[in-house]
Amino acid sequence: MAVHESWIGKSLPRVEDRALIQGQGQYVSDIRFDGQWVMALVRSPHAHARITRIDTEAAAALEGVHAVITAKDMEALRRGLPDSTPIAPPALAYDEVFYVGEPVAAVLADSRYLAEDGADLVQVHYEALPVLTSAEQAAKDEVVLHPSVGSNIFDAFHMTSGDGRDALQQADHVIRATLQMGRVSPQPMEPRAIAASYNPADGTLLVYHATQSVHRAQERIAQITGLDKEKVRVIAPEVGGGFGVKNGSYPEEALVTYLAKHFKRPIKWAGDRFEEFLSTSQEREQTHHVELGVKQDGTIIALVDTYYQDNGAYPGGGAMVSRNTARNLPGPYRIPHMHIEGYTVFTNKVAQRPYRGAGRPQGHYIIERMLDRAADELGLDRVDIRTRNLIRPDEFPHRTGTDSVYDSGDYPAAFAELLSLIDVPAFRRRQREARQQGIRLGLGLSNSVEISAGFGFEGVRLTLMDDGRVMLATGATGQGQGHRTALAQIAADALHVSIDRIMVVEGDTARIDKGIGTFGSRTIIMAGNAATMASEGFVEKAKNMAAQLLEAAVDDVVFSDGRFSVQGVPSVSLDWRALAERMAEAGEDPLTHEDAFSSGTPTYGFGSHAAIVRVDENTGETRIERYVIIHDTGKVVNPLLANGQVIGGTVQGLGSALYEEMIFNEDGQPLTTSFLDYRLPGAAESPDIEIHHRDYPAPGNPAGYKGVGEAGIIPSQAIILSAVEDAFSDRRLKLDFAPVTPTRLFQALTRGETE
Amino acid sequence: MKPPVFEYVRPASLAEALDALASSEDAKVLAGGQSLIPMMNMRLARPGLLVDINHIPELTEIHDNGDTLHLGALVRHYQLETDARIKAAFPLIPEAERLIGHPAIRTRGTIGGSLSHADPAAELPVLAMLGEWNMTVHSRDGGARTIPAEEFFMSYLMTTMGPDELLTRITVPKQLAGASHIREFAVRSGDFALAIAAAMVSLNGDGSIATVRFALGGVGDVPWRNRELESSFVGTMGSDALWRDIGRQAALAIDPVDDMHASAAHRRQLAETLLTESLHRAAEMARERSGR
Repeated sequence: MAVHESWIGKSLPRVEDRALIQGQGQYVSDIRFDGQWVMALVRSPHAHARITRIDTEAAAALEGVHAVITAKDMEALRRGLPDSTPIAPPALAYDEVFYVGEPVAAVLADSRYLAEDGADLVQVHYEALPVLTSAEQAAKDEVVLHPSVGSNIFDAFHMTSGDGRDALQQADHVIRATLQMGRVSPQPMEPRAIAASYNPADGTLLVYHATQSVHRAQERIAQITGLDKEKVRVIAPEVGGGFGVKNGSYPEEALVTYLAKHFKRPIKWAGDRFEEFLSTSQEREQTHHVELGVKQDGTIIALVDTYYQDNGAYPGGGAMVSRNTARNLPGPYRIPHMHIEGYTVFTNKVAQRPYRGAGRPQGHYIIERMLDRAADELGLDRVDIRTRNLIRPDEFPHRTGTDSVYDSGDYPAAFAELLSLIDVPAFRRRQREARQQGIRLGLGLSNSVEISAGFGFEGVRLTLMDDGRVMLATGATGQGQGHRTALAQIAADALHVSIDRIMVVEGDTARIDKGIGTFGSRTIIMAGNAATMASEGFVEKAKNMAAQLLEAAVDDVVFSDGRFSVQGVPSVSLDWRALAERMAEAGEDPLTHEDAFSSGTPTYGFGSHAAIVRVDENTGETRIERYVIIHDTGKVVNPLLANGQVIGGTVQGLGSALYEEMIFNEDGQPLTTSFLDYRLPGAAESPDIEIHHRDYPAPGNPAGYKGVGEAGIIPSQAIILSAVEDAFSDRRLKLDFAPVTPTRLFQALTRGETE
Repeated sequence: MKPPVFEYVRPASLAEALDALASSEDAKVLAGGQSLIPMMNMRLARPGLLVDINHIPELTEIHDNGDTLHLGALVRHYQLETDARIKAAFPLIPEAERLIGHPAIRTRGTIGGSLSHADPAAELPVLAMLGEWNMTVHSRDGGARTIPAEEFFMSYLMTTMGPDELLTRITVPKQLAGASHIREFAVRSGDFALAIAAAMVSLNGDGSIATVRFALGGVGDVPWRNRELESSFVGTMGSDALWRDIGRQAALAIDPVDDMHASAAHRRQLAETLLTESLHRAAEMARERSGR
């Protein structure tokens, strides 16, 4: 067998980078249709109010403004958006607004400037209604936001394993705490955007969409516009980050596509940063009332958790986040008995929907913080309590009690390796010495499992191009992850060609009929396996074609080192280019093959993180001195890109640990609506992150791939709170809220939250 | 985030600029645009007329006047950060500049813009108070007048300049004796500070205080300074205990408010911490400089 170069496993820089770095990437905001109208929206300034009247005349009269649309004008825009139960928001608010930023009227004009001038002139009269800004208050149903749902609690579930709550009686100690996570706004670098152009001649609608799933968008848009799905083409051009919030329906998607068809005019909406803060989904906001039952030696007996998720005004995708929180509560620890109650509650804020992690960080936050609390209360070491409860490799397959079956890896070995890298005894000495000089150092430790994929399918279509290159099309639309590099590496290996012979096309419904999209760390698992499967079928079809062209029996055709030859006659062979040329000469249709990978089995990557922080007691500032990760990504396609995912996720988690929080006042007004006030961590705030791999191929899929996109963000919020507490272990500091901003830490230290 | 309609003029001389300012009820001066342009894009500022002063050469001048340095209103942050004349005259300026925003902001932003914008959490207004800078302002009808720093800042984002007046020149008295230092606490690199403390100390031969000045930012509606409190320490022996005492007394004298970024108590503690450190470091440098 001939040897060809293996592209899988190489740390290749992204093939995408050159164009993006040179500013040649085409994003939705770079799309300009001839004669397009630009949309700006009149958004609600109230968190909850009745609309009593809307005056649009002045706006409509403005030169350059073509139309001002309210829900009164078009029945279709009053209907609920697709894919939202038990209630769906309308494209435009009809008689009531439920959050600040909810669209009330759409202004179509020649430019965004004029559209905003028009929006300024629309006068909406409101009658204020009572505002709900706390989930636990809203859960009392004193005011019910959506009477058709009957309650503000629109998703409630109970989950019990083992003896449930009763098992607390078997524990020597029950540790109780109320733990909270603040609301975060994911803020991809490119705000949401969509542009659509309708061709009345053939009844087709072309949509450029900053979305994570072109095929799901295609289905929704067909529903909204009443067009057949086949008449709607959705293309995701370059997309500048998604993190989950560019997945699923939004009012702007319905408005742009419906109005483009209605007016037979291309329409574009490119959201700005302010709109991204007001109207794009947010996440993380939960309050947990937790009880952890432990034995004297720290062995976990039972976890009982009742939590409330402040979901905002509509479902969004929040119930999935809440349920995934439950699934992640055990983390990598053995918990024989559990009772979990989760309540997802409407309030007057923008809706929650899955954001990178989507319940994984929340669940891990709870168990990790409770282990710290238990260790502190029992006088045990925070290291020892983790080691004692980590699931061992001989316990696989391990049923968590929350619908997961962990299958691979060695959690205790990874944790032990982490501890030795950190050299915990040496750190403790340094910590003591530093404390004597008034310098506070703290160590945070955390273990995590990343549950990825486990549902649906993803397809890959391969097509032989005239020049012998192969086009790989997939519906797994990327948002900057580097799919065009990683999927090309996989296909290059299977087709025995150099990576530059593969052209990956993501996110175009015209290139592949079916697809699901990129979210939940699924693309390499799903589209990666599909690429290998499609390549196998593609090679078989190519062999048939080669047999025909070489006038040989198919069984005699050998594919080796990128060439098709007849067994015993190695001098006569065709490579992909020759095959393409000969096919073209013979008048054959281009060779193409599509296959899909389906799997109901999730992958279970894992990791152990350690952070050393230095805290300034006088200012409340926390600086991260060192951050070390032991990481399992299964079979790795491109270590550079995989590590990029881990680092990016970790830093986003650090943001939610130290800086990022959407603050709303009692009237439901968001106060942190610019990058001045909503603080994302920048380069100066990001530590150097050391990553050490311990990769265990996933047993649940042929290639052994595991998810990696959410790995970093899962533990990196909890770990910082843990480390900051450790810096004040002599004062028994307890932190119950993330992020721990300087002012929050100051309050915790001065308000007697220490003993 | 697009501004509403506005008129725009780009005068080539001071006289033209003053005419333009006098011609409109709601004119605004465009210098570096680092605050005004975002505010216009958010439609929080809606000037009817924008007077772009970036093409008036005399506003860019830096002039050494012996005891003082004259800085034109258009001198940009990066010049304040790097110009040797400025560093020699008032070393605290380049020190403070490193705390201001990011390089892109410092490339565009101007000294006149920062002072006229009068953000109490900005660095230059604190230095203006500490260094007793004088602001020269011009108007078409009123001619020129000079406003000392302590009369210049009125409240949050408000100065005592009239709507038709243009800040043209900042007169910075040279720091002749002692040493100075500035400290601030910002949540992230480049953020507006939660609190700023600047101090200037000169010592007598015996180590007692000859003069001491200190100013705070971010703790009220204008930069804070209290000369009476300062003079009460003259003649006292400089020591760590004294710096702590001054920090404490200043923290008690200010009246910060709670906002979403920091509680009043936190700001008070920051002011105390930063001022103590600032005085300590300034005194240390003053001692080094005089060879003691």
